[in-house]
Amino acid sequence: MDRLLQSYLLSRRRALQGMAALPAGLALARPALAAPSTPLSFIGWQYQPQIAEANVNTFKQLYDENVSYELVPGDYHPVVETKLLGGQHIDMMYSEEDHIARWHAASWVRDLEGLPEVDAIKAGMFPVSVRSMSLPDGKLAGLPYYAGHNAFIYNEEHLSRAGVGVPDNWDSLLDACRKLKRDGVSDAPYNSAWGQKWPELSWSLFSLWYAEGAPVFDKNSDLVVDAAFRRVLEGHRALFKEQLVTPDIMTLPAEGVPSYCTGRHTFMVLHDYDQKVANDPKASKIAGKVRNALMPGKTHSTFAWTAVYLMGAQPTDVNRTWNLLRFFGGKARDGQYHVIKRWALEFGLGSAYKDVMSDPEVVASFSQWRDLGVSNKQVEIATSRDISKTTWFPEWDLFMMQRTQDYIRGNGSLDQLCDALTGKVAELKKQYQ
Amino acid sequence: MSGTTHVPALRPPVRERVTERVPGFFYAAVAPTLLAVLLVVGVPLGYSLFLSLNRINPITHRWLFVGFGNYAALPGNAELWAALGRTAYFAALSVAGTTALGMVFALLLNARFVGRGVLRSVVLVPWAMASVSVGVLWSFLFAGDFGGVNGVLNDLGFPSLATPWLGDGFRALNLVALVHVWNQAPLRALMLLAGLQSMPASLHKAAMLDGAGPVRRFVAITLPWLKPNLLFISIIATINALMAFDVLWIMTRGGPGSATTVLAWLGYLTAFQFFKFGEGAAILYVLTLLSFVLAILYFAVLGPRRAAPVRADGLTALPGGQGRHGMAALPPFRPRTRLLPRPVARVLAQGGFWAVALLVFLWSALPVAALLLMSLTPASDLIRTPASMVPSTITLDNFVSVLLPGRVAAQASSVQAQRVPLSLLNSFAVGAVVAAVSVVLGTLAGYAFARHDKTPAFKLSLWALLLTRMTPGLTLVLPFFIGFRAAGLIDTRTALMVSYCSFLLPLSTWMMRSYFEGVPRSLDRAALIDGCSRLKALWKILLPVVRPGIVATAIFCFLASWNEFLFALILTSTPRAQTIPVILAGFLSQAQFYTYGPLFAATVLSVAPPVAVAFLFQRYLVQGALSGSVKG
Repeated sequence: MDRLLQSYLLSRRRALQGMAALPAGLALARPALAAPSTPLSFIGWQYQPQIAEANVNTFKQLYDENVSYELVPGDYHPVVETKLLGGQHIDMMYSEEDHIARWHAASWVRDLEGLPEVDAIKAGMFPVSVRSMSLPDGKLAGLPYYAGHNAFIYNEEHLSRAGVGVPDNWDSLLDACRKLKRDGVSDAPYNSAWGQKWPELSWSLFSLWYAEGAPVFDKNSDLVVDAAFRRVLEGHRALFKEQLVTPDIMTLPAEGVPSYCTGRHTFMVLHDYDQKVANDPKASKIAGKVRNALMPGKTHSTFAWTAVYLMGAQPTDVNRTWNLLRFFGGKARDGQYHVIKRWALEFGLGSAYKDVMSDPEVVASFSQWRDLGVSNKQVEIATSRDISKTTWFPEWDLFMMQRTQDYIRGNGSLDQLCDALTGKVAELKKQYQ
Repeated sequence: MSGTTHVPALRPPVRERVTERVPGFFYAAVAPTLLAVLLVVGVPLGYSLFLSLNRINPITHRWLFVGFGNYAALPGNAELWAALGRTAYFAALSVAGTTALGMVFALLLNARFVGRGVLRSVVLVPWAMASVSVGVLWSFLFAGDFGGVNGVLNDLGFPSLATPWLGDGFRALNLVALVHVWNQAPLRALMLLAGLQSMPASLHKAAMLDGAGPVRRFVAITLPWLKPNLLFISIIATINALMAFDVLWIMTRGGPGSATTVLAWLGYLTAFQFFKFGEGAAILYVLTLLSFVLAILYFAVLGPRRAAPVRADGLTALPGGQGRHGMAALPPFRPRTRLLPRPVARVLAQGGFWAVALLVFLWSALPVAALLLMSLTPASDLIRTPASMVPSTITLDNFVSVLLPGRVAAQASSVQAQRVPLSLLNSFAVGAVVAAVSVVLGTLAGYAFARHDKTPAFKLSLWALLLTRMTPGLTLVLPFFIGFRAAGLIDTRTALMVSYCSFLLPLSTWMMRSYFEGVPRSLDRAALIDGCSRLKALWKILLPVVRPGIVATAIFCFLASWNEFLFALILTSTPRAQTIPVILAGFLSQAQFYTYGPLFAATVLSVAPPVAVAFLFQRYLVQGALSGSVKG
């Protein structure tokens, strides 16, 4: 029964895969080879897993391969760390940039230096992405899943109704929010992901810190509590205190994107690709009205990251796994960016590869839902987090989000918060010596 | 009648001597259960305790034995104290809420009225839902922008009352506790209902003759009668409240700020997010200690008294469960003064009764009805502002995308949706096997424990089994993963079956023990005298008698297995073994909100089988609870 149902579902899925299976169809024209009996293991988080699965199937057919794809719902990094600690063998895994060095230090993943064509691959990528995906010693640790940054978007209809311009700095942002609220255009003009998950409050704060010119950490990995750092935190507290954000912003589902798509809010700092969702008529009540601008702040920089595919420390077969990594995180052996281009066209995910981002098809697609000139400029001045190359950073990050949430909600002073965050750095450094 | 009259005990004081020789059959009967629990839970538990004596950093490969250092550091941990305070508040609210509501439900359902069977079934529905489903449902209902509660308020013309429910920290803690109460109260109701059903009607009749009104009868007769139930309920309710994790994980993740960070969440953060297994385990074992201390406290307050009161007729009331009747004392005679004429009072009483019945029905059914409605609502309606619960149209698209993903566009059907049918099958297979094994082994062990509960070895092992229920599952996650990986059972339904059996065997054993205690020992002896072997006596004579208890135990185990989430998340990897709570959790982390529709459809599908079980077998459930608590 079980097997019957599985085969039924698989056949349904195959019928659905349509376009995705086209390249595979070409591959089927050549003599089929027996797939290896030992599957490569690939573990990933919950973002469009149906596409990831379709990509796995394409790879299997193109390369006559055998791959087992595991989807982790829920807290991806803790679950994977538990499994890795428990001894689970994984050939290829997703990771955010802040876990690369940590997992390498734990001997769970290996670097990619010395593998075929690595230097050429590096040369084809934006330097900020190479830096994001590298270990503290500069060795490349993974290939790019996608490259993203936090973007600042606004509802242009709201601004026009309130007669305010696009804010350029913190003060003008706060003033615009106040006016929008006062005029009844929006009861909660500002929105962002302020939850305690890793891509939420942390990413929002780092984006605004970098936009304001705060380095956040120095070269010794010590916290830099300067005026810009403090200004951003005070600004967040003001947004909450003056009810310029919705009071339940810290528990909003799906990183606050559905809330923005209702049309309730005017501004949002969000993952750049989610602007596609906000401008999608099938998913958003304000489709077509959402524009992007440079981040408000003194430098207008933002936080940019590159999510990666990492190779397990002891892969089943280095060559087979390297093929898998290159298929997902680069060009397949037919010279095409099957996976990366699909993510870009269908979901608006940016790429670490220069030629993908300049591909006319991708440019045309991105232009439909965002101002590409602005986003290109935003990426140019974006900052990656070098601090994430410390093994202790994910722990500090979660601690920071908890404490900052409390501070934003009016608990404790800014000095107390900064002391706690500084103290935690010292504690973790000692612990990880 | 004298106000101090004790009701004579109904059963003779039959007790075996402590030193009585225990036949080998009984050792053989308890051995599989004890062995299974010892191997599957005991060994990982020992490993987990050992971990708590170490400071481990898997990233730097540092492993430092610190003895009780992790425990000694706890008093200086300000976060722990804050979490402890929230835990105490959450637990107090949950225990009080579930007990009070459970009492109201039980009193209502103990009365005879048209539709009682239906109401009993409806009341059970929240309990039959998986914690993950409960969290999914209520997190949407409480959502500030487009949530169901605000939708209802808008639809009823009270938009000013619409609130960002989870925006305030203290309110969020209370709401999460309220959701826990909604989910758990039916179980308390069942246990109390069982107690009420065993209460002789003559007690109340005699008190009524003495002029006692309903309130006085409740205080003087019903409450004392239910004392043993309240003891068991308090322990189980406290353990469940202290260990609550799934609902928090889905609804608030300890936030906003740290407003809902209770000890279980803090332990999870420490052990799994901060990757400090030793320190995390030490925090989680505080929960075990708390459970244990509170259990002792409950025993001191609500437990059976050693010195039984001497009755007026010179006999001594029996200790333990059989002493229940000694606790109930008829209130002193006092002619009842009526404020209202009898017909008026009767009409008012009936009106009040039906009003309470309606409230109980709405409390239990409304959120589930909302879930059903949302599963039939077009996806775009679910993010409307201002929120509304009135759909623009009714559609089956959400169910189609879950059950027949090929019939809708690929983008509208996530891989999670495609995995629902297979996960339902997995859940069913695991639940069925777990229920069968738990019943077979639990029946054997329960019989042995019931017949030799005074034998020190049996008594000790029986309580050791209960102690495993006081251990947070989070402490066992890593040891379980390591163990099953070594056995080559990761990502198999077998791993889930073995895990759940080991968790549920203590429960099934306790339940079946209690049920066998209600069966006269003379029945065993008669069968033996007639030439039956012990096994044949059990099979031919006793099992037919305890059949309702067996059915009830099986249902308990099936539902608990069906709803388990944490171990299913860690021990499985692929659709071939993943169960429905894991798939539901997967929906939550998808950033595409048009999957809200399929999410609710999948939740309805996941709830349907346990609800069907609750509807069909509620009669047996009551009888089972009777066995599990009243005589325990």
